[in-house]
Amino acid sequence: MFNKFFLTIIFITAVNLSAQIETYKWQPNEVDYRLNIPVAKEYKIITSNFSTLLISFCQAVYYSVFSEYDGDNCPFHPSCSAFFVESVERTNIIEGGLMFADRFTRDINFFKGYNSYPLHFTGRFYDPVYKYKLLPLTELVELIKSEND
Amino acid sequence: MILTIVNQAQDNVFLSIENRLRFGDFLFCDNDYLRAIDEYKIVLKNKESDMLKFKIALAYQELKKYNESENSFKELFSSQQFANEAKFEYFRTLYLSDNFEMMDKLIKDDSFIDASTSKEIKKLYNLKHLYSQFHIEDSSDFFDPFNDKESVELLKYFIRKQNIENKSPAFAAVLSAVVPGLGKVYTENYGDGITAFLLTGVLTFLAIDNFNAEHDFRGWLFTGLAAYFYSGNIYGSATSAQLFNAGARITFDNDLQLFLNKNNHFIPNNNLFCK
Amino acid sequence: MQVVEDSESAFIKKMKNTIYILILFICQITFATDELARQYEYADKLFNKENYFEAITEFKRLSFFDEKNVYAYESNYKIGIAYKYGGFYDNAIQYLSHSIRETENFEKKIQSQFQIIRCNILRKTTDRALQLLNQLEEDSKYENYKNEIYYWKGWSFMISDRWDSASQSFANISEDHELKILSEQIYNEKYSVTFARVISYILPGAGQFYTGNYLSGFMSIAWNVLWGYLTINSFIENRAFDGVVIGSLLWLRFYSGNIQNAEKLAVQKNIETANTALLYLMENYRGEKP
Repeated sequence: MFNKFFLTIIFITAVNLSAQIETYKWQPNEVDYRLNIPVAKEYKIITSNFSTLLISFCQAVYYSVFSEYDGDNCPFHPSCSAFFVESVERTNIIEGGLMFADRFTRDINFFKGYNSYPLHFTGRFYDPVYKYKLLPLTELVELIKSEND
Repeated sequence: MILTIVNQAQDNVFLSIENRLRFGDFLFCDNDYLRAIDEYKIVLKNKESDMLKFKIALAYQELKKYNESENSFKELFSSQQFANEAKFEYFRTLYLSDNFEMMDKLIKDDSFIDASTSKEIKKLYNLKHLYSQFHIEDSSDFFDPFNDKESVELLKYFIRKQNIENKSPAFAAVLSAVVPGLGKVYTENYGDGITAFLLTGVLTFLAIDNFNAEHDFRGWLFTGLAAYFYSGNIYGSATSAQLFNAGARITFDNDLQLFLNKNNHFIPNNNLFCK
Repeated sequence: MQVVEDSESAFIKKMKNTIYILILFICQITFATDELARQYEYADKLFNKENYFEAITEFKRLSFFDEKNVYAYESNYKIGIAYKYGGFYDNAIQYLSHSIRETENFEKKIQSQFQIIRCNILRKTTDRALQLLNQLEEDSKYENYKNEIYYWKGWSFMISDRWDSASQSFANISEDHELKILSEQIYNEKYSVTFARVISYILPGAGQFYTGNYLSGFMSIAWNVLWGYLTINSFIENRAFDGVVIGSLLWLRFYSGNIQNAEKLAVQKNIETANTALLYLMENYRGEKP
């Protein structure tokens, strides 16, 4: 009798007090049992213009020949080479190049832990390209805020 | 008599207007707003009621469906019973959805603001202007709508807002142009500054060394690299100053948000419908 | 005579009236319970049609008007299950716990308890599910439900990628249980991450060959041979400084990189293997699913 009482108590206290509020009329959903596959490779060829094609091709070669086999060294997400490709894609080859030079300098800084980079869920420092595009301040604040939400 | 029984038995008593209303009220107070709206809408088809329209609008506000909420509140502006409440809640919806333009427009519109709610509306308007992206032009009447105790608490944030640290990206870039890495030190990224200084220094030394040893190709290679990282550092110092500014603003805004949520935005919480 | 008749008819009239009122009264009572039954039937019909959102509305309506809590267990239980199908597991667990409180029937309580456990499995909070299952297992009252306990334990292990524990749990039910065979097979198919690491320590690239990534294995061994050759060559030619630099900066980097690469590939292959089994469970498995 005591056990039964005890068990009932346990099951009842299992209640999560913050109820989920429904905001739309949902349909039954299919449950996905599968596990998440960690990101396998971080490169793809981007053909939007010549400079991105060149840079992303170089990255693909660098990644598949070199970077795969010299260990997991980059503390940032996105990794330095992916950062380079993305910054060239989003701006131009000159500005992207400058952004990469800056990122490289920050990467070889031994004390980067003291900079307050936010942590990405992969456990790396999250350091996205848009933060280094010299956007107007209010726009930058809005972007970072919307990402935090 | 038998007829009435048969009649009653044919349509479901639970779906009668009164019962739908009762059930809707229960759902509304049980935070099940989506279903409450459905019940209220069916009741409204049979019975005109401004209170229900008002509650539907509130429910939309709770569900963060601000467009629907705004439209529903607008319909009530001409209502006898709920006009002022609706106007205030409409303003609150604009506040919650960050619709600054509309807030600005309404605060200048005398026909919109009624004496009974003007204080609350002013409060919300002023609180929104405490966020970092706004500039408070006339600080003399900022504290007018608040009482003494509230003013004291707000004053802390008011002063903090005036003193948010600002680093000039242009100045950081100039500093880095003079001494590589100095701009980064200025924006308090000391490690990055020292690294940039060492990197450009080493590359420049290698360039000079190679030129002296008459290795011209290597000399030019290292010159190019040094120039590349030198200019990258100037660019990086500007972005780093900007990130510093953005970070200071975001920290302030987050603190302010927490503070305001804790104090329910200084609006008295008179729950009309649920106990 | 006339007077008697009159008084009689008056009496009969009175009786008739009272009978009518009585009938009406009885009707009202039966009618209320009748209405609840009809509401339950209607809600249940929606539930069976898999129209879960509407079904929840109707069950909530039922339990709101059901002042004597006649249908309290059924409505709470069904609301919980409907929320489960919609993926609102917190709400589901909340209503299922309510349903446990609303009944004295042991069978019904257990039914709700198992549903809470299944919600936890689906929510991927399998630790919580296992904790609850272990408590049930230790309790002698649940002697008759051992198989079910083992079954859901097995599911919890499968969802949390612990296939050998899963196969042991299903083996408690029966040695040739379909899921026992499946999880045993997956467990055997999976590569040992430790083994992949260890053989990569001994021979660079071996871990990649073990997991079937021949290109990666070849690249790893090639890089290590190259840097190893250059390092040793430097020492042979008495260029000790070059040897130390190449050895520490490049050879060591690629040597430890090769081990990390072997581990990464093994983990990746294992997840792919597990996902084939989980996909089978999602799409083709005919038995009871959480």
